Order: sequence, then structure tokens, then C-alpha cells
Amino acid sequence: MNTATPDLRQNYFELFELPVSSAVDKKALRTRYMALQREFHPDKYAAADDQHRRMAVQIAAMVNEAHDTLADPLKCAEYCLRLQGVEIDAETDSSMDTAFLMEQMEWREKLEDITDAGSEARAQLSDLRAQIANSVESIGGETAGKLEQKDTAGARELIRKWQFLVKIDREAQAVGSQLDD
Amino acid sequence: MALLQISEPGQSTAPHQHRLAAGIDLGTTNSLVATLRSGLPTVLNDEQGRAILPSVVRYDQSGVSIVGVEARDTAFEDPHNTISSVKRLIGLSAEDIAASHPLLKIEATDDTVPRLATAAGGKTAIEVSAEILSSLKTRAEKSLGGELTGVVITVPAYFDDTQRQATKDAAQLAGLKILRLINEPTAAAIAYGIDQKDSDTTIAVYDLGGGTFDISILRLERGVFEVLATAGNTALGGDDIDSAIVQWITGQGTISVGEDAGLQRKLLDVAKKAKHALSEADTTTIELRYQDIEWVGELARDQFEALIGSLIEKSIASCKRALNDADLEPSAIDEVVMVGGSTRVPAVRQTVSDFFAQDVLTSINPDEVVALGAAIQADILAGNKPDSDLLLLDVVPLSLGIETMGGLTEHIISRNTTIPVARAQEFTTYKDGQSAMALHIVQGERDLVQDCRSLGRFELRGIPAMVAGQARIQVIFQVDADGLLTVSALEKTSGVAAEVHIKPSYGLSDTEIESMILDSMKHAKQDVQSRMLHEQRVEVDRTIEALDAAMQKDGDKFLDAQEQAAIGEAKAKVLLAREGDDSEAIKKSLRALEATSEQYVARRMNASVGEVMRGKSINNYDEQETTS
Repeated sequence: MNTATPDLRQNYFELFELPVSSAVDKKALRTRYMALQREFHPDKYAAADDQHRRMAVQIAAMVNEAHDTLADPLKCAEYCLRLQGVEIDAETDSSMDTAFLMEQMEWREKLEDITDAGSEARAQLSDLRAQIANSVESIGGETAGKLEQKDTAGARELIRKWQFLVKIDREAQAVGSQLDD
Repeated sequence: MALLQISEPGQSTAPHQHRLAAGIDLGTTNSLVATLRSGLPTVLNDEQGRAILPSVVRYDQSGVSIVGVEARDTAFEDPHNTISSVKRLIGLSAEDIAASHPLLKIEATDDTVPRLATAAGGKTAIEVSAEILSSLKTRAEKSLGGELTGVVITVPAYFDDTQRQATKDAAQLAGLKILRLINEPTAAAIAYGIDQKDSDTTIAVYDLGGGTFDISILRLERGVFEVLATAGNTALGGDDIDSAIVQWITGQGTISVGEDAGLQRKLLDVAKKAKHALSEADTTTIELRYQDIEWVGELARDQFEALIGSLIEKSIASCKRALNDADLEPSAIDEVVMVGGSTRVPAVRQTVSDFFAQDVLTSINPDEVVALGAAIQADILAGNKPDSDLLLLDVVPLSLGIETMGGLTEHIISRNTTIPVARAQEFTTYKDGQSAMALHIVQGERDLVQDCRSLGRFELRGIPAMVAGQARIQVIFQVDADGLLTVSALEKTSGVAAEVHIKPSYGLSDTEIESMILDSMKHAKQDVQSRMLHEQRVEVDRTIEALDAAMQKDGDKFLDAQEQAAIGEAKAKVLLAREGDDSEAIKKSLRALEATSEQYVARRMNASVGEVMRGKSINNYDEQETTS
């Protein structure tokens, strides 16, 4: 029934009028996101008829989805790779270089120790998270380079590592939540 | 309002009409209604000059209900027909209520929504809430001298889909048009005018009420609020402070309470009095006289503070958790807003102030601050403040997911995602010729379905017959700006839309709501037919007026001659139907007009995306609001 859905441009970068790159200009993204929200947020149509309200919800949802993707560096890199025709999840290959895996195991052990470490736990946790953040930053830079060179295989390998890092950081954050309980 | 109306600056087509709007704080213990008067948010009092309406409803045999102070003060006469703290019951199943509120009597029915047994028959939590809202509506309309255009109702930030939907249903039942549900902490921040700040601000809203504690971390950037994280404790509040004092009194060794409910009541009364006194004085005398018991004691503020220290520390633990979730240090917080009567306790203020290392905001009455903020937002949404930059970007409070094999939850929309949001998920059939499939929607963070909250079961029917695994069924989960979920489905290879049948787990279906409204109207002896006819005619006038204005502006730009003719034809049919007195016929013709003009609206909105990027707006909805 809903045939007339606003199409909102070809891709997320076009929507925000930003160059296609995993190194997003965060400030420009934010400003344009706000401008679109100010125009299409359903609150701007609170007193409007059903048709407009429905469309505003659709547009605002699309704008949010686009923003969430570009604002999150990992999601953005995955999205860039997809625009180059490679789906990260479609591949089943699970090999990963040994040095990286060793580092992951080391961090995971550290994280387990923190859970039982008592009063110094918080300091240790922020140390670990700083290390992870460092790795994320360098991997993010490398990925942007590979994507720019259209080296999809290289970018894909880096993004898979990046996913591991984000996962362990999320676990570290969850450990932080429990420390306060 | 229908199509966007645009007028040239300074050429308003009609004088600005102020619309009556109100903000409602539908609280667990107390409720309030507020509105904007001469630009200032003001709480509306009842005829006796009281602002606070106790959230207590008492039913009698004749079906009449009493709401507020009278119901609360006479509760002891008729405890079984007096319902208080109904907010704690909203969205709960019969089993939930039986477990958490063993004293309440639940009627045995087949309904999904439990009914509380009262002298006036079984009442759902939605109906009880509607009584409170109705009472506030009457108060507001009497006080403002006209019908309310719409209201903003506040809900706790952590309210799940069922609880939000139930709140909305209650408003509908009370005959209120909801402009938006907003989160209580956001409303409080708006009341303090924090949205007027030029620079980016991070705000903590510390809400210590009668029975619950909530902490929310918000970020405000040029008029746009975002909820970053929320945490809380549903069993921490002013009541616990009172209990701590009671324990101190009985701990002195001379009074033994036992099972004496009257004495317990009396003890709580004197404890509450002492608590209030200690907000001002350094020491207070507690006098207890009950039957043959006579006890007098002195409680100093520092003793009192020692008693409640661990309670306050519990709230600080929640603050730490919320900060951790938002990935922030306490020093990152720019403003701390205090909400709830219990924040009057000096030790609470001091501890919170120490934790965040800054002075906390306490200048607005902590009981009223949420309703006042809601009133400001209601005024904007009703269209009375076209120049306002205020925009609330809220988030999904709890992750939404579906049940997969083995009773596991798969998250489709994760917690703290900005709303509105739409996510698509693809499913396939596992049998040849399968024409239906069932989905179980849950909300919560846990991995096991049984640990999450069941929102409802969706059955997709009408899937075209195909070989197993070939169908590609796209299910779209959409959460709107009120935080409410809708689900739609499409089989992609054939383009066939699957029908979605929803069976809410603990909510009411649309038909149930409808019949409740009809019942309540019969009760009020209102003429349903004439009311519906009137509403439809108003809707026609709005739609046509807006459509004409839009077509005049850019009809030629977006529509060819044939399309314009089609819209003209549909419009003529609407005007013809309007002359008659069949409200269904009017409604149908209006839907047809909407369908015909849908492409036009979409094109205009598409065009405006580009305009926004260039820093201007053709569809300035705010602007046209002043002209309607």
C-alpha cells in the first residue's frame, strides 16, 4: 500500500553529502544529521495528518540508520566495503594471524583476572581499554588506506580483526558495569 | 493538519490561533497537569487549590469512581476497591501482579490483560490510569476554558514497549490526544531551560521518588536532547527512608510492633514527619502516641544521615553504572537536575553534589519539575512555538529481538538506538509450500527468551507457496518516536505482503480498546455518532485547506496535468461526502484522497532533503503551523 516512500538518495554518504570514505568528517556528519532531524523528526509533524506522520517516521528512521552507520567507525568501514561489493558476513573463511590471536587471548585472560581483582579493578580495566582503543585506532587508519586502494581482501581481513577488538572492548565495558554492583 | 501549508513571510493566511495543550506527569504516587500561561509553565490546581492529584482511584458499586485525595484518604474504609500505585501494574501480566502484589484480587478471565476485581467490576490497569488522566483532563479544561488539543505524557525512561503502549491506550480511553510520550528525565531537563544553552551540555537527572530511583544521562546539543544511558533501582525511594527511621525508633527497644497494622501506619507517619522536619532543622523531636504506647525521642540530623547513608550510596552505585554505560566520568557531567520529593533531603543533595563535584539544580519544585517540562514540550508540539529549536532525540530503552531456535534471543534493535528506527530482517520457510510462520517478539538484554519480556506473537500468513528455503520474507521492525513497535512483512521474491497478526502478550488489541471507548461513551451518554461525524468534518477541512495551499505553491512543479486532475477529482468526492452525514463515507473518501496525493507528498519531502543540505527548507512545517 505504501508505494510512495521517499528514496533519500543512493547511499548514506550521498544523503549527508560526504565523500565516500571510512574516515568520516565527524563534525560535518553531525551538523548535517541535526539539520535533517530538525526537518524530518516526527515531532515536527506531531500535529500533521497520518500520511505526513507516517512519512516523517520513515524518513527520520532512514536518517538515523544512515547516521548510526557512518558515526560508528567499524560499521562505517563495513559499509564502505559493502559499497565496493564485498559483504563481510558472506565469507566463511575464519583464518586469522597467530600474533593477533595470541594478543586477543592475553587480553581475555587479563579481563578475567580483573573480575576478581577487587579495588584496583577499575584502574586495570581502564588500562586494558586504553590498549584496545590504541589498537582500534591503528587498525582504523590501516583499513581506511586499504579501502582507498580498493584492496577489498586486505580491508576485509583488517575489519575482521577490528570486529574482535570491538567485541572484547564491549565485554570490558560490561565488566565495568558489574564492578559497581 | 494535512499537507504542508506554506505562506510567504508576513503574509499569514489566518491569524495565529493558540492551541490549548498540557503536560501530564502520570506518577506512581502522585500525578500533575501543567500548561503554559503567558509563556511560563504553570501547574494547574484543582478547585481546592491543590496541585498534586494522588494517583489513587476508588470504585463503588454504581460504577462511579473517585480519584485523588478523597480516594486516598478513605482508602482504609474500602481497601479492596481502592487502587493505588497503578503505574507499577501497567503492562504486567496476571502472574506478575500475583507475585509482586499478593494483596490485589485479580479476576479470572481469558483476556491478555489482567483485571483487578472491584465493586464496579473488573478493571484493567489501563482503565484505572485512564480515570486519573480523565480527572486531570477535566481539571485542565475547566481551568483553561476549552478543549485540549493535545497532551504530552511523561513515562520513566526505562518503560518498555508494553508499558508505553498501555499509557497511550489509557490516554485514548480518557479522550486525550497524545502529542508524544516523553521520558521523565528529559522533561525535567527541559523545565530547567537547559535546552536554552548554546554550548553542548551533558546532564545527569537524579530522580528519587517515593518508591523508585532513576538516573539518566542526557546530552544536549543545540536544542537536541539525546538519552545516553539510564539506570535505576525500582525498590529505592522515600519510603525506604521512612522505614529506616521506623527501624531506628523500634530499635530503641521500648516499642514492639508485631502485626499491628495501625501501629505500623502510625510509625510511618511520625517517621515521615521527622524526615520533613530534618530537611530544615538540625534536630527534631519524635512523639508517638498510639493506644497505650507513648514514646518520645530526639533524632539529630547527623544520626538521621547515618541511618540513610547506605540507601543514598545505593543510588550512587546506579549513577556509576549509568556513567559507565555512557562511557563517561563524573567530571563530564555539566548539570545535575534533582527530581522527586526525596531530593529535598539535604544529605541526598550533598552526596550527589559530592559525587558529581558540583552544585546540583534544585530551584524548581522537585515534585512539579517533570510536569512543567512536559507542558513546555506540549506547547511546542501543538504548534504554538514555531521558532523553537527544541528537538528530542530519544532512544530505545531496552533491546528488541525475536526468539530463535532453542529459546535464544536475537537482538534486532539494540538498546540506546536513536528512534525512530526501522530494521529489516530476512527469514525463510523450512517446509515446501509453507504459507505461514510465527514470530515471538521480546524485549530485554538477556540471552534467554524466558528472561526477557514477551511483547507479542506475530503470525505471518499468506506466504506464496514455494520450495522450502526459497521464500525471502522480509520483516520490518519499526519503532516510532513514542518508542512503540510495529511490525510489517513482505515476501520479496513475489512482492506479496504477508498479513501480520498480532497477539499482544499483556496489552490490549485495537478492538478491545475500541469497545472500551464505546463503553465509556455509553456511560457518559455521549452521542458517539455525532462526535465522530464532527471529527471527520474537522479533519476534512484541515486536509483540504492544507492541500490547496500546497498545490498553489508547488503543484505544477511536482505534478503533471493528469495527476493534478486525479487529485482534483478525489478532492471533489471528499467535499461531496462532507455534505452528507455518514462519517464512514467521509473517512473513506479522505483515505482515497490521501492515497491519490501520496506521491505528491513524497516528492515534496524528497525535494526538501536536498534543500536541507543547502541550509534552507521549503517544507517549513513550523512556519506553516502559525498560519493554520
